[in-house]
Amino acid sequence: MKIKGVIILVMIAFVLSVFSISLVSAGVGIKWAQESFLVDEGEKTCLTYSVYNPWSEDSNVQIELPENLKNLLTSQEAETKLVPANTPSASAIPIKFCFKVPQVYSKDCLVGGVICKQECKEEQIAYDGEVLVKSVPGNTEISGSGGSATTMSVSAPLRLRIVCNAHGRDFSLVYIVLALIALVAIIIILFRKYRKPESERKKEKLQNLKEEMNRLKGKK
Amino acid sequence: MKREDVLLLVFGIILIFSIAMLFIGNSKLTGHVTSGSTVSNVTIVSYLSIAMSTNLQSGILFGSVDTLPALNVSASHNYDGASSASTFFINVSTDSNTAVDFCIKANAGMKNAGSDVIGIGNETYSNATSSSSTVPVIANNVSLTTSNVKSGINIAAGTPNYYRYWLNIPAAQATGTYNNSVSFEGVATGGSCS
Repeated sequence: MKIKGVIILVMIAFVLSVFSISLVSAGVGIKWAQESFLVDEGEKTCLTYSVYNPWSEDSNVQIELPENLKNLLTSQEAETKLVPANTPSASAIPIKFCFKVPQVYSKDCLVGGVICKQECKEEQIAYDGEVLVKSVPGNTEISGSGGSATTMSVSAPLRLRIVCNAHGRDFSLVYIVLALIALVAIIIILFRKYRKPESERKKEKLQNLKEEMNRLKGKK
Repeated sequence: MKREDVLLLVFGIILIFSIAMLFIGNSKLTGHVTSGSTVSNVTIVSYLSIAMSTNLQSGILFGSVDTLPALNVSASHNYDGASSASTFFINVSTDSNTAVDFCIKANAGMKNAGSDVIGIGNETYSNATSSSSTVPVIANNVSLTTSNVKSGINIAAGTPNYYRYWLNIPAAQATGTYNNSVSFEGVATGGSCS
C-alpha cells in the first residue's frame, strides 16, 4: 500500500513537472558553426547566424552586438525576424546582420588623408564579444503594480580578426588631378584653335607659310 | 610645329599617362596588395534554445506593500507552483546540443514616475535546477547588478532553471509604483556573458 502511494505521488509530481515545463512562453534559439571571422578594415561586413524556435509559440527575434562592439562597429543593420513555433534546429532560419569595420591600423599619408601607404607592421587586432539573439516582446511594460519587466536572449561567441591590407603609396588622386588638368588644357587649346571661322584660319595658315618661305629665302 | 600643337601633344601624353596609371593601379597588378582575407572555419556546430515560463515573461511582480521597511518581499510567483514550487523558470530546450549557463542583470534600480529609486542591491534572487517550497532557497539570495552575472550554470538540455525573487524596501522609501527591467542571457556552458 505504501509503495503504491509513493508511486502515485511520484507520478503526480512527474505530471505536474511536465505540465509546468509546458507553461513556457515563446522561446529563442541560436545555431552557429563559426566563431572567428577575418574582416577587412574599413569595409562593410555581413555575418549570418541561424535562429530557431522549438517552442509552441511564434517568436520575433533580433540579432545584435554587445555594447563593447556596438561602439566600435558602426552602421549596424539588423533585421527582426519572425521565427514560427516548432522550428527545430535542423530547420534553423538564417538571419543576417551587417556592420562597418573601422580603420584600425595606422597609415602613412603624404597630404592629409590622401596619397597613403600601409605597411601593416602592427600586430593583428582582434575583437572578442558575443552575438546576441534577442527575443523581441510585443510589450515590455509591466502592467498593474510595480516590478521588473523581463527579456531574454541567447548568445554565441564572436571573434573578429581585422585584416590589414598592406599596400604601397596610392597615387590615384595625383593621376586623377593630372588627367583633369591635361583634359582642361586640351579643351582650352582646341577651343582657342577652332573658335575662328575656317576661312580666317586658312588665311592665318597661308600667312604663316609666307612668313616661313620669306625666312627660308632670307637664309639663302 | 606650332606652339599650341606642341602643348596639345604634351597634355595629350599627360592625359594618356594618367589614365593608364589609374588603370594599372586599380588592376591590382602592381604587387601593392600583399595579403587577402580568408575565412577560418570551425567544424563544431553548436545550438541552444531557451524559453521563459509565462509567469516569468509577464514580469517579476512584488504586489502592493503597506508597511515599511519591508524585508524580503516575495515576488508573486515565487511559491505558486505545485507543492509551493516557483513558477519563475527558464527552460533549456531538448533541441540543444550544449548545456547552458544563464546570465542575469537588471538595467537599473527600480524607479518610480518621480525618479525615486529602490537601489538595485535591494532586489535579490536565488536559483536552482529544481523547485520545492524551500528551493530555490532564500538563504542563497544574491543582489541583482547592472552587469551580467552567471546565475544558473551548466543547465542541461531539457532542464529548467528555477528562480525566486525578493525585494527589500527601506523605511524612508517614497510611495509609488517602481519598475525596472531584468534580462536573462543563455550562453553555451563555459562561455562569457555579453
